[in-house]
Amino acid sequence: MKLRRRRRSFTESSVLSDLAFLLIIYFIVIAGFNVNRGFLLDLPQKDSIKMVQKDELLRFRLDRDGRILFGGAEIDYAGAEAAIISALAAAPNLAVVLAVSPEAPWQSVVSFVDLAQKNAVESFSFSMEKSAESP
Amino acid sequence: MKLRRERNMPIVPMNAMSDVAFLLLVFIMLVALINYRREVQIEYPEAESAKRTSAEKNLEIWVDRTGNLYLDGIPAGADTIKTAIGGVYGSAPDTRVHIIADKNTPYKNVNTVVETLQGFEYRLVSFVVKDD
Repeated sequence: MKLRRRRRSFTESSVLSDLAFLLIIYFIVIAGFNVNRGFLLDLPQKDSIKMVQKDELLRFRLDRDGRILFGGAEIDYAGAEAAIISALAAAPNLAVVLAVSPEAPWQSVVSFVDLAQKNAVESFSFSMEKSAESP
Repeated sequence: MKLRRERNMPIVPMNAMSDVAFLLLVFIMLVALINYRREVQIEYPEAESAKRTSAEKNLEIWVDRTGNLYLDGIPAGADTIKTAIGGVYGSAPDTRVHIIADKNTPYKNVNTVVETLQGFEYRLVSFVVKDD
């Protein structure tokens, strides 16, 4: 008995190559996801001291609910931005200091870092408040 | 009488194409496996002016909403993270440390990591936000 070898048709192999290329595109996309976006920081040394003139210092505070306090009064992000812009115009070497409540949500800290970076504040530092905060 | 010669339609052999495609597929799958990243279920913080911060060598420290810490996606204690940062600081100081924290976690949880980094005087740090 003569056995005939079945030949694979061209149509079948072209379907396979289509499938393979689709999988390639899928894996390329998956591999490309591994990228982080964020803020590059230059963390200061722990307990480091930097001499800053009093009129070149802007202090903000983030309370436990993530509200910004400036000079004891609550302001929004637009208000904080306006304060920073006007202070930067008066003193280009402005230092912005942020005291963060231990309970403040991380988003509020990130939003303030975003604000500082957007306005090109060169000297920006933040630290957690040591003492327990009254509610 | 004029005889017309029968012409065969040219056929492009596609078998080799599928072989090449599958070789490429295997290669890219391997690359994807090498770049495999463990994700922790968190809500990313959002920001407008963020930029790409991934470097050639990266170390990811995750903080979930309840303050649990993860090192490259694997649960880890504060001591493990301290040891890892110390190791990276000694062996590959150009490694970028990414802090990826849930947007609703209290700052004190992130501060644990920040203080550890400050203790080592680690400079290459990024706060990761949501990728649009």
